[in-house]
Formats: sequence, structure tokens, C-alpha cells
Amino acid sequence: MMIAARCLRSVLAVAAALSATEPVPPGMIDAGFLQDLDGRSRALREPAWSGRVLLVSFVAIWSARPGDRPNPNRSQAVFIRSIGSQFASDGLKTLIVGVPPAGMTHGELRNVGLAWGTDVVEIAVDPQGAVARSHDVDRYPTTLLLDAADRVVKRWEGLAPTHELASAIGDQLHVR
Amino acid sequence: MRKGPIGSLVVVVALALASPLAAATHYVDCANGDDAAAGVHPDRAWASLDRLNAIALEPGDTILLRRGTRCRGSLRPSGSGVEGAPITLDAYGIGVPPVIDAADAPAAIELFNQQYWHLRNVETVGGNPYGIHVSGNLPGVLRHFRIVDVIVHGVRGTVTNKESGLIVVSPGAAATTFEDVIIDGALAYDSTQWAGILVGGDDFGGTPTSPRSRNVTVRNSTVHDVHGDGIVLYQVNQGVIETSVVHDTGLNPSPAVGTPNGIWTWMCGDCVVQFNEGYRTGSPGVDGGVFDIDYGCSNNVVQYNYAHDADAYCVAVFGAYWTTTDSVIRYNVCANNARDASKAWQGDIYVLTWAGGALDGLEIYNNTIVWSPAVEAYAVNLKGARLTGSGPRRFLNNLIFSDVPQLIDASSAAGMQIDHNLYWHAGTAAPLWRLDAVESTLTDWRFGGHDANGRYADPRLADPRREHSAGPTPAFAPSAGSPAIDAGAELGAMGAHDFAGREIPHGRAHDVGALEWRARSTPGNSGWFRKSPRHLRQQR
Repeated sequence: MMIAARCLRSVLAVAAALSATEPVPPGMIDAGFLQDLDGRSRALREPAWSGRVLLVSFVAIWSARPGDRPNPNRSQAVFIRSIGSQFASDGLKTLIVGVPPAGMTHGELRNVGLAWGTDVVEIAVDPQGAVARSHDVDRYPTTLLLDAADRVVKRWEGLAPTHELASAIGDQLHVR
Repeated sequence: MRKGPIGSLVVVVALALASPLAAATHYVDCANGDDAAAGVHPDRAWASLDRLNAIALEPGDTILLRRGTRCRGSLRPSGSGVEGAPITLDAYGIGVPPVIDAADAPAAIELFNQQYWHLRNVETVGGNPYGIHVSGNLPGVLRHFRIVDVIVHGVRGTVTNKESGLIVVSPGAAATTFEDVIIDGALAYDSTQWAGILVGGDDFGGTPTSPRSRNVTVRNSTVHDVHGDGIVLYQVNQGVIETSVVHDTGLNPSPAVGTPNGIWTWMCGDCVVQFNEGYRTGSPGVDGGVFDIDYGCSNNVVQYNYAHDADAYCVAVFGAYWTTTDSVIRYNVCANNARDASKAWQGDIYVLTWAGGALDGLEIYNNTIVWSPAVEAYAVNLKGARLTGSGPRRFLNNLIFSDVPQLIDASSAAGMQIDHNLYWHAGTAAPLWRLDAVESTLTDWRFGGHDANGRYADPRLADPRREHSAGPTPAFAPSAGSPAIDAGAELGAMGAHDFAGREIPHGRAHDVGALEWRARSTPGNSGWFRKSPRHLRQQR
């Protein structure tokens, strides 16, 4: 009985420690894990993306026959790339998070990401869609703009047009 | 009636006899392959494009190039697919797309008098004067091409004509046309030849009655750093250019070949240009604009586009030699264009005819123009247009916010209905309207028959120059109390939504400009493509 109680206390202590290290105030990004195209585990709150103006777009990777009909997620990737190329020199980080269909291998995801172009934007994968769900993303594409304090300052559901992205980013970076 | 075993066997045998030969898959590994191998398995892949070029491909065949490898030379495969069984070029393995390095060969990938082809997941570098070239010279129609998720760059040579560039689908003889062409997800950049993406339907000498290609779509593509045009449809019916981006076009140092634009249609029937972005488009001479309905076009629409920071205009409509009919320019946002002082005179909206050409049917409505040219010039230039015929002639519901006094020149736009526009000059000089080659005041302008319902007032845009925007309203949209709200005319068949994809009209009437005012407009839903794909809905 004492052993069981000791175990329970240990579990509670670990849980408390974990929750203490992962406080996520409302409106801020959480610590959900992504995978980059090399399969490495990444977090939105890691230094590469946190603490700077970050445009992150959640896009669905789905298996419609390529090219036969419009795909707003593919379109969003094109627009994010355009924005990235215009604002990278001002300090903007751009990230496309692909949410895949069940059963898609990491290799297949890597191929899709590479086809979308990684020369300007970073591309990561949210294998189970958990990070997307933690941000209440239930429509794709959904795009978030985070300020240097990791707060979500703008949100677009549906295809985010480049003029709105540029306007909001310009405000955050204090550039015209 | 139920079939017995013999009946089923007959069906199976009949199907087998009716089926074409089994489709083959050919593997090429330019790093570790062997041309003496069978080429039918990744472990027995061929080593060169020459080996592929030597075989006759059959309908349904697939060519797979190994990812992460570089193949030198050109892919000039033989054979055509058929309906339902195209021939496919794709990649296998994991990693970066395979590269075809053409060096100075005429093209990295060339299809000639072939049809039913899919090209996917390849990168090409080099070629002179083409990167990917699809062509033919036999009378008739070449059908069904898909060029998807390709990267094409590094095309070299001195440009000598407009039928050259990174991705060129264009016939070598006037009697050849294309049908059912989709280019989706192409990244095309770095070319000293002319076009980024060109799909043509004639051998560059056509008339409005010449054969045209049909059902052509370019979408989700990016073109930059090219010496000529960005994306062009020439001699096409039912063409679409959408959700694409062009920038840094028109880099050719000489105008000898022509004067380019970003995205445009030429001799195009029933063509739509929409949801695109263009910036830093240039030209060694005139033009250098972002969008253009050019001569010989009929029933073209340019809508929901964003043109900014271009050397020259936002949108042009041209008529030459023949009559350009039924052009519609609507719900576009034009911002900070005319960066090149030598091109500012063209304006942001530029309408021109020459060489006996005319315009029959021209509707320009609900565009937002933020005009801050490098030198003083009129934001809207309608003075050089010959209007003819019975088609509608309207310049309505447009919002012009200008840093210079010159707002609109309609000197020769006889019969044009110009009304319900909202003008504002954000400066101290008196604003100018130009009518019959005389600069005038708003009173004179109205006396001349224009803008009885138009206004000169601060439109109270949320952020016309991306400055001072602390609120939630997107740039270029009217804020509460704007005189643009509910001030537009109802034209009928104006489309279902505004530039941002939100339903129109909102309120008592249409607003002036490309963006309809909302009390709560963002953070928001663009209204474009809201539904999640099925597999993601099912996860929840």
C-alpha cells in the first residue's frame, strides 16, 4: 500500500513538474512537436522559430490527383513562399506545416515537402495533426502570424491572400 | 441472370483480349544504374537518358528517375499515351527531385507531336532556348498534358523571339493546337530566354480565326527572374491562370524582341486570370506591367489579383489590328506600382488601342488603386482608347487613393460610363481629372458627364500603405464610416465575393473598391476554400 502511494506521489510529482515546465498562456503557441523533413523532432517553441515574427501555415496534404483540380493548400504554399521571399530579409521566419493523410510514410511526406520548395520557407510535418488541433485548426489551410513574444496576433482560415499577409507582417516587422 | 463458370471464363478471356499490352515501368538511376541492365526494377535501373530515349514507350508506361540523382543530357522520349492511359514521367525513392541537366542542349525535356503525357516531380536545369518544351508540327490537336510539381531553371542563350523560355507549350506550325493542358505547381526561374511559362496555340502569326488551343490551366506556379514575360496564354480558348506568383520579370536589356508583362493573355477567348500576385515586373521599354488583356482577346476577366511594386501598371487592356471584346477588370488591388519613372505615364489602369484596333465591351469596376508613382502621372489612363460596338463601357465603383494630384484621364473615352468612383489625393495640391485633354476640377469633370454619383473624399482605408495599422482591419479595406461603404452601383453579375473572398454585397449596397467593409473583418476567414478535405474531417 505504501509502495503504491509512493508511486502515485512520484507520478503526480512528475506530472506537476511537466505542467510547470509547459505553461502555455492563452493565445500563445504550445509545445507540440513536429517533424522536419529529415525526421527530426521539432517544436514551435524552439529557438529557431520562437521569439521572432513567425508565419506558420497549416496545410492539408491530401491525395487528390495532382493537377486535376484546384487545391487551396497547394496554393497557400505558393503564397507563403512568396511572402517568405519578400520578408525574409526583414527578419520574418516562414513555416509550412503539412498535415498528412493516415498511412502516408515520412518518406512520401518528405518528397511532397521538397516538391513545394524549401529554398525560402521551412517545411515540417504534423504527423497526427496534434499541433494543428492544439491551435483549434479544423479547416485547411489555416495560417497564424506570431509576434516576437510567441503570441498569435493574426489568424486566417481558408486561403490567406498575400496582401493581407503582407499587411499584417509589415505591422509586426515595422516595415512598409 | 447469374453467370456460370463458363460464362465468367468467357468474360475474363474477352477482357484479356481487349486489354492493351501491360504497361511497363522503366527505372533510371543516373548515379548507379547500368544501361545494359533490364531497367525494369530499381535494382536494375538504366543509367542514362539516352537509354530511355532509345525505346518506344507505350500507353500507360511510366518512367521513373531516381531522386537525388543528376542526369546529363536531354529527355526526348518517344511515344504517346491514350485517353485513360497516359505516359508518366515521375520520380522514385526518397529525397530531392531528380535533376535533368541539359547544359546547352535545346531543351531538358522535349515532347514533339506526342500527347497524353504527365511530367511530375522533376527538376531541370539548362536548355537553350527551352527548359521543358512541348511542341508539334502536324495538323490537328495534341491532347492531355499534365506538368505538375516541377522545378525548371537555368535556361540560357540570347533571346531572339517570344517562343522561348522555361516551360513552353507551343506549336511549331500553325495547324497544330493543344487541348487539356494543366501546369500546376511549377517553379520556373532564372532564364535569359523569354517566357517563364507560355502556352500557345499558333505559330506566332495568328489571327482571331486561326486555330487555337483549348482548356489550358496554369495554377499554383511561381515565375521569377526571367528576361521576358512571366506567364502567358497565346491563341487559347478557355484558359485560366490562377493562384500563381510572378516577380522580377522583364529583365531583358533590349526591347528588340518585345516589351514584357507579368501575367497576360493574348488572342485568348474566354480566359480568366484570378487570385494571382505580381510584383517587381519590368521591361526594357514600354509595358512592364503586371496584368494585361492584350489584343485579339474576347471575353477575358482579370479579377481578385494583387499587383504591387511593379515598374509599370497594374492592369492594361489593349486593342490592336482587331477588336478586343468584352474585357472585365474587377476586384483587383493595385498598390505602389509605377516604380520606374519612365513608365509611370502608363498609369495603374491603362487602356490603349493602336493600329486600327478597338475595344468593344470594357468593364472596369470595384478595383482599389493605391497610387504613388515615381513621378507624377494619372492613376487611370483611358485617353488612348478607341471604343466601338455595343458592348458595355463602364468604369464604376473604383477607389483611387493617390499621392499625386492626377487621378483619371479619360480624354478620348467617348461613351464610357464613369460613375460611382471614389477619389482621394493624399496631398495638398488640387486634385486633377483630365477630360478632352484639359485638366479639370471635379465640377468640370461632372459637367462633362462623369461621376454624378462619384465622390472626392478620404476613403478611410485601414492601411493604404501598410502604415499605422494597429487594428484588425486588413489593408486596403474601408474602415467604419468610410464613404466607400454602400456607395457602389449594382451592375448585375458582379460575382459572388470581393477580393478577400467575402460575400457581396454586405449591407444595403455594394461598396466602392475591391474590399467590402465588415464590422469585424479579421482575424478572419478569407472565404476561399473553407472546407477541410475529407480525410481530415474524419479524423475528428
